[in-house]
Amino acid sequence: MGTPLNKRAKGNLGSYSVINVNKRKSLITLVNGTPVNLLGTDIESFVPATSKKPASPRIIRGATQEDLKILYEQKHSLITLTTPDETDREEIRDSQQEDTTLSNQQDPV
Amino acid sequence: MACELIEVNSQDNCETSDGGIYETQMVPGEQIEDVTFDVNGNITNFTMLTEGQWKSYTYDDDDSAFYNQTGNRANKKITYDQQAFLKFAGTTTTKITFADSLAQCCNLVCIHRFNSGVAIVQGIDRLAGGGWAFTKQKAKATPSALSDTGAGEDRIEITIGSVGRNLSRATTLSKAAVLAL
Repeated sequence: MGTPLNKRAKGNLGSYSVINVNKRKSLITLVNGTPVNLLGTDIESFVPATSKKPASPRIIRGATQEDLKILYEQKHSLITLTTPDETDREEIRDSQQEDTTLSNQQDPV
Repeated sequence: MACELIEVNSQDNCETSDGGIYETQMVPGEQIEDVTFDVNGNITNFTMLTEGQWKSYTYDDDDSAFYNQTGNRANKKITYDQQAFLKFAGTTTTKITFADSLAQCCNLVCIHRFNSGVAIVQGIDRLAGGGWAFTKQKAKATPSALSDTGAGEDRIEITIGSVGRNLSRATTLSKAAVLAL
């Protein structure tokens, strides 16, 4: 029973979101060199033809929580981390204590 | 930025130095929603309102292009007169349209790529608190269209001027990364 709880708690440490969105239709930024839309929706754009390349469509994908986490760690000022409510925190704390107990049992030193 | 002295030795490894700029990417400032810096103050990311707004310009390969920043101090107040010069030989209708429309932009942000390898961003100031702002006097273009004489070349010349609160910061973004935005 402990393992599923641990997994749920670790995945529920908080969620990342974008602030100051206002009425923006899109907010494009780079995540590991790839453009993503911070608003979380895919954008289909059209790359016009040049003398070197023909015209082509391209998709800018919507940002995932993982993308937002990367940006948050890079101190992107528009990304914030919302921690879970107090109940969830207690759940996490309990599961972390359980983790510690388990690891102590499995790793005798 | 706090007063912190950093040692520099210009004679390390007998380094060479190649002046001038060879390429510039530009965008209207109002398209930029946010700027991200690394711990060294380099720009590592832009957040744009819409995609595909950065445009790239390659000017004449005759060592005429530059981006100069001249400091001015009045007691505790310091500003930098920032001026870029880009020359495009051969007058065409496309170049006239480009120059005329560029003059309508009241707040440009330009990434000038130096022959030495560094890329410097004109139009953005890094504020003392760690945030950012557009330069004290926003970057604006002043185009000229010159026929010259039969002994010379006809050309479009663009001067982009701004006044910064501090020196323009470098960016780690490549041309491809900027144009992907």
